[in-house]
Amino acid sequence: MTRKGFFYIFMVPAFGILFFLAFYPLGNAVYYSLHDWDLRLNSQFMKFVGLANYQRLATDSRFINSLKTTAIWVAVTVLGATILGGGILAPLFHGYTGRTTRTICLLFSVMPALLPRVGAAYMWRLMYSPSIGIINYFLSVLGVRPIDFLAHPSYALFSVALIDVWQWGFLIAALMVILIEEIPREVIEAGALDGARMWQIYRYLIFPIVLPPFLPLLFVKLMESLRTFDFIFVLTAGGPGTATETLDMYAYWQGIGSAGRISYASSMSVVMLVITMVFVTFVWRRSARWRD
Amino acid sequence: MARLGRARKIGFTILIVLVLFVAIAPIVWMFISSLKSKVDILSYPPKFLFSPTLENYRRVLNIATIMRGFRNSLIIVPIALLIGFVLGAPVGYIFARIPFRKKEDLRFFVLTLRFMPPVAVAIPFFAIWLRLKMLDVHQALIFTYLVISIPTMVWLTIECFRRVPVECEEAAHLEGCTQFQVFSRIALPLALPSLLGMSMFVFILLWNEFFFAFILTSTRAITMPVASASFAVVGMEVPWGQICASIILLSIPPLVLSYFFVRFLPFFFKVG
Repeated sequence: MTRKGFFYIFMVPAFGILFFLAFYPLGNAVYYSLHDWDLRLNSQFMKFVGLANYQRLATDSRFINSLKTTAIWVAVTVLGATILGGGILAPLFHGYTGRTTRTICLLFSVMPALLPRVGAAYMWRLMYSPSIGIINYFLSVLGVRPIDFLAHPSYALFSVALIDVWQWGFLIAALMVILIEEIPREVIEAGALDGARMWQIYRYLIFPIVLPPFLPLLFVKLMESLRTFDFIFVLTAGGPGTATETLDMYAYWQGIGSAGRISYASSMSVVMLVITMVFVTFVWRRSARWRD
Repeated sequence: MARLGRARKIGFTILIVLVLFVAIAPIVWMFISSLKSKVDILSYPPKFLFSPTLENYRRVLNIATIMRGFRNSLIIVPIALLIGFVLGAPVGYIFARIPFRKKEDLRFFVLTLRFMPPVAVAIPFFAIWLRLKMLDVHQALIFTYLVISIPTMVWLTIECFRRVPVECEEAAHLEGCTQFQVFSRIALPLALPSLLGMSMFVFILLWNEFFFAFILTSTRAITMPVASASFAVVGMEVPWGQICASIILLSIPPLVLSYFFVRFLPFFFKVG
């Protein structure tokens, strides 16, 4: 088989399917979003309405609220996981452990992230429970009255975000340890010989080296935060009220959950896709210099 | 490090133990709870000493939905993974070794697929499968899962093939091997360990996948994550014993694979 033949035989089927998987739903979403269609109706009742769905989005206060909630969610989870993992756990794991402990640290650190999200969600729901939860038990020992973490409008979003920070903070810590280990020993030892303190070594030696490979990781975390549905769905389903209703939660609720307005939900999917695409393209262009 | 005094060393050891405990405490607590009887699990303050029972597991394994979910996951996930491998790994090889025009653009396209918001994919697919009368059908979910398995495979295998010594491949070319032979007899076997590592990661992704399965299936093609979550109605107090047992069963495969995941951790930086 020639090189050319090999190339086409493998590229064409894979990209055929990928193009279909990308553009067929996208095309459909755009098509539905320009129509008025309800799941309860047969598709022949689909009615062309132009940009009406998008106009409605602009004035839908619940949609605006979900954008705001998504922004808070992304900010809290990305910052929380980065600070916990990169700022606290990674230096701890790296600086003070031998070989065996290192392996155990890494192993334990990746476990939360590898759990099915549904599983992690239930684990925390059990611990958060106001009536039988262990967290409230410990708080009560300290004299704090029981808190219904997931039903309180101002705590709910942060209670769910904490789970995400738990999953990702530890994962980021593990990845950072790997990154730091790739730095030649001499660099760090030279710093130590010059009398640098531990925090100075981290700030001025390790941080600048680790930053470039860390940024793509941060980007992945950001994208993952944008698409967190499972946690919120299992733990609060967007409630109480709309306190934890992110964009995908609201789109789900409108389209499939209970309202069945598939065309309106499709216009939200399109908006979501556009936001993601703009964002990814921007980062990809900016990151060109780190790629080979 | 070496310069630390003994007292500080002990202090940091305790700190690390505490931190690691936080990492796995939710898992441990759910496992403990899964061994409790109904009375013990609902008692407050929470019981740390109780007589363990396997009652919850026995009951869960007799629930038809759970068993069907388990069976479906064991069918759907490997098939989606296999298709992803067969279609994705050669593309990864091509990206790693064969120069062609528009390569960067295609790589970017694969990347964006990986980051598409699931809702934006699932809602159109829901409508499509609904119109084709293929909601709750295994094949429909497997096909939809290719949107996860193929791009991830392509993206992760690029690095695997890059690590194959290029001299081996050049030698094979000089010996008169065709491109396909170089791929199948040299690159594939040499990259196999890391390819398996990456496949395992995709397996975990698919095994854990909840959202597509939740939207596109209901009874016949339900997968394990959806089945485990189907116990609880939001807002109502839930049958905790059975949930704990089924979540633990669901979580065992990814937890077992976490050891291998750690071994392949360095790979994940080279792929970005």
